[in-house]
Amino acid sequence: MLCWNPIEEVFVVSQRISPRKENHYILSYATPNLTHIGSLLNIPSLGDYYDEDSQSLFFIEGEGNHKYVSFLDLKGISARLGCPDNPAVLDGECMVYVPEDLESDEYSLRYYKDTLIVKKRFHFQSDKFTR
Amino acid sequence: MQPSEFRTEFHITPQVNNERAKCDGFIFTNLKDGKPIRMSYHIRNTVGMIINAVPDPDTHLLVALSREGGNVLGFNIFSMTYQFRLVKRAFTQLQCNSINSRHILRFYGKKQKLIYYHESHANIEIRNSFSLKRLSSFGLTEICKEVGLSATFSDLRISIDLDYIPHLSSMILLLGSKIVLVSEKKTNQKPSVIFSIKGDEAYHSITYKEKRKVLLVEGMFSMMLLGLDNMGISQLRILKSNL
Repeated sequence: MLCWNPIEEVFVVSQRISPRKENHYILSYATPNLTHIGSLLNIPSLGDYYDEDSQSLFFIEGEGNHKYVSFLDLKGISARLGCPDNPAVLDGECMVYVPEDLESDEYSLRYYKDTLIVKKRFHFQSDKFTR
Repeated sequence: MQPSEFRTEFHITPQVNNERAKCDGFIFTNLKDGKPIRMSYHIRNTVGMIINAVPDPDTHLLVALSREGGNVLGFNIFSMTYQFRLVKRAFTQLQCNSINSRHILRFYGKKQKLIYYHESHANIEIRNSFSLKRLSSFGLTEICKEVGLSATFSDLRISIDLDYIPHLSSMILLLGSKIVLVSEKKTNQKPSVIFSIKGDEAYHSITYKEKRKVLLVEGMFSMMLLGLDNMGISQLRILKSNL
């Protein structure tokens, strides 16, 4: 699960579709059943962060030296999308480009009131697994 | 007396840990022009490897747990209003600080509470989020004993999850299939099981949202939403998806 927004009564969950890509699904529980209302497709598995204050989900898109941080605003998403029979395919909105010298397979993102931090995530080579 | 000569295979050559050197990042303070600022060098070198960070929008602070060595863990408080300047730090000694260890960090700025759990000592600590001083400590062994889960303690110490419920001044613990309420004041009521999960689903995470007074328990195939009032659980929904 990427995030839970109890105001909009939605969850965003991710499903790995290939070793380095995933689909993000927006599920609403405003209805009696859990309803799939929207999707972000083929998102690279590079890192994400949900900011409760702005109700935005941040994630990294692009490849190689052309990566960028995108976001999806969940504020009012239930009203925007409703509960259609066919879930909407959504696109993230580009926010900033990741500098070329910050090449990594995984990033750590943090957002706070118009300030965004993009960091490389550690890889613990000596550890066989992480919990 | 001649110093004894060790065979070459017993010679130990310590290597400089280069984990910190891998830490690199940028801050974007002006998202309109998208110009990045490289994270300053001193931040990277005074704080160990950050393994968990929890921001609090109410107090504009960010608490980060850092691995300072094999037996030392650091609590670091950063001010989010001054480009993440380090304002306070404290250290704690652990028997084993393996990166695989289960650790939990929860931050409630409004109540100046920092809740921290580490598998190696199996204690839940409540600290003051400004001074970082330890206010109280709860042994998971005793909690398990109180609620009749002693037999599964070794599993629970690595699978535990918890959150804090401000209006009940209590912590909520997910211990296997039991949801346990633990008052933050030891003199008050003893830990009690407020909900027992039935079925085969293994739930692994518990989150409380204060604004809606809703508890979310996540499992592999389903999720549970529990409404809380001053008496306890007021409503329950089990959510499953066909995806």
